[in-house]
Amino acid sequence: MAAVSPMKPVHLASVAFISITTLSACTGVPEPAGGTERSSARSSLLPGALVAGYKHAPERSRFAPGAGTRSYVENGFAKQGGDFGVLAVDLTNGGVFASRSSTGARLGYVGSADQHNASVRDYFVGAGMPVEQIVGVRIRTVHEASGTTEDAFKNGVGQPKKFGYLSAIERAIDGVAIAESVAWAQLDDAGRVVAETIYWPDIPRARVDEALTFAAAIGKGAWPSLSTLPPGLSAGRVVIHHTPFTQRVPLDAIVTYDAHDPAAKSARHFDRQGAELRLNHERAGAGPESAK
Amino acid sequence: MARSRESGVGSRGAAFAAWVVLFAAVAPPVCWSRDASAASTGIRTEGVANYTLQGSSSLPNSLPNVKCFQQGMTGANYGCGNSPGATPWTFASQYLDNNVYDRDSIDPDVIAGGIDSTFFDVPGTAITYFAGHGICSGCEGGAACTSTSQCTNPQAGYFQKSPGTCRNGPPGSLGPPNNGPTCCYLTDRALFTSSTSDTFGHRNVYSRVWTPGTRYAAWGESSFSGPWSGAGAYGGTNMVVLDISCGTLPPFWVQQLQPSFAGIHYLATIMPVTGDTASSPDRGAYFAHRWLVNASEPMANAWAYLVGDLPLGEGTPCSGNNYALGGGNGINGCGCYLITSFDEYWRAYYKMAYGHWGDLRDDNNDAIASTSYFMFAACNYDSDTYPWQL
Repeated sequence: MAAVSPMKPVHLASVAFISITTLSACTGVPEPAGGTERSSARSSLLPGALVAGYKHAPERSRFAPGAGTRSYVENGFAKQGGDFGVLAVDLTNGGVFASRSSTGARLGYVGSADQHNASVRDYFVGAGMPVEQIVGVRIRTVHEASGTTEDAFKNGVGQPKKFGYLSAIERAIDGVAIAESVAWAQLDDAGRVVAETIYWPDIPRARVDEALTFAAAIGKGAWPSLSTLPPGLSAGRVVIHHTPFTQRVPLDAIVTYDAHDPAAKSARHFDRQGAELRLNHERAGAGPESAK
Repeated sequence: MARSRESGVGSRGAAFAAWVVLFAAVAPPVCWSRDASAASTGIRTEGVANYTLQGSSSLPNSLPNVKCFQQGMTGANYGCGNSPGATPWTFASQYLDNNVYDRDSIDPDVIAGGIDSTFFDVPGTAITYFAGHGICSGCEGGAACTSTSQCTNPQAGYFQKSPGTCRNGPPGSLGPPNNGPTCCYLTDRALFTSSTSDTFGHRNVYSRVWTPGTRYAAWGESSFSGPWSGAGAYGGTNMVVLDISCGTLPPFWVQQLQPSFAGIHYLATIMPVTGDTASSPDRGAYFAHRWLVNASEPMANAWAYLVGDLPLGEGTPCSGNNYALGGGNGINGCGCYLITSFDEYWRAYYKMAYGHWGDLRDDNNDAIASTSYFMFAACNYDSDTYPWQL
């Protein structure tokens, strides 16, 4: 991958990182939730104090899989599946995911975006999400449209009707964005959860402190690398990246300065020394390729 | 098919849609498959990062994007950390950079020189996922507007055609020159490659806007779909994902996407409204993850709800320096994840409302017409309060 060869890859062994086991999520035992810090004593793999995230769990979810629900393990998830949908807990990282199945009714939402946002926020906070880590609730709007092709060509297609909303919780700790933390839910008119994704892992206090120090240095004009970044980048910010829920590997957390590159149509990441990084999930190795 | 182009919302279409919704509310889901004997399991991926030859900026994230989609579906190991266990999907092909040709996705039955039935639209394929450059156009020279009725002056120099639209978004999301609602027009959509073996100018124009007599893309035609689209029956992919800039633009998804349908069940892409597709390193991984979680999830949900699954910070805000008005989640600025199906009416409806990952493998669900459409989209902002068309 020539385009990334000058960059420093982020390996487990090459940067400060943590490994957090979250296997307790698959035991079915409710984990304490909330925004308090806790020591690493519960696991020898934890190198220091953690800022607790939020661990969702079936017993805290308002998603109901529906009639005929059965429990089973599949694809690395502990799943509860019924005639409405599936609620799945990742056995490696504890992420919780719920979605409608094709046998489930299509349930929309006629209320307002503000109502939906408030209800989802209340739902997560009530379940134990640390309030102080909630930066905002962001609305996502679902639309659907249908018709005849001929009519669409002839008369155009206007603004399609709203079907419902997703409300996503934006996370930060002490003002530092936690980039890969995701928590959203979709509600129906009765307040039932019809889909959700939650992955807010614990974050090492040391990473938060590192980020605050980094940001303070930039704020005071004391980060010399700022003037040597590649040209054309937008103004950036210091963030904490962690392993996304798609990856079943030990959790990494790393602090970077992220700036958007309009040419690459994506963010670029720099460490405190000004070296550019590519995160683990931005890299892929050699594998099967097809020849022509 | 009459194709006079007039601006405005189709009242007939709205009434028809209302009837459909009413009927759908009382109609039980039924199976639309004719039989279940034909399974397409192949996953094909094409990713372009190096655009030196074509002359565009490099997109390094295209490669992990397609590799980790392939791994998440088939288990082919690229070190992505997302291998499934037992999987019903099979590795069909993966081409990267110089091995991705423009003619890969061009149909030889509609224009000489295409080779899509060998590389992109091959029998036995369930999903073909392309990541690379597209093109965002249609608003060049656009005047400020307050209503679509004002947008009647397409610029031929920019290959714009009527109908126009008064493109709108949240405050501050539309940039210069108008910094507000702007007249935009129907233009062609294309995917771009950058190979020494390209023969079509490094692009495949998959719509038929500027030169409607010339067609390049016809995807999914098979013995199950029949040759209704005029492209033979030598293809076979069931879903095409275009992870590119401005795969379609509002409100033109019918005009811009219907021409490529020849049998595919779905076409999924990003529809930026005031921004552009972000080059995501892992949109494909997140898409595959939704299959891992629930193989019975409707495909429409699986694609559209990526707007929640992708991290907010993968993409820039709609306006300003925070996400209060939307943005991110794999899109730079405001936009939507869009998936559409064309077929006979009820077949398209059931595919969009209920068709899941398993149904995607069933070739009996190949489109047998493109007379009706269903579209499902999820946007990274409040597109109800701030409609994309005034």
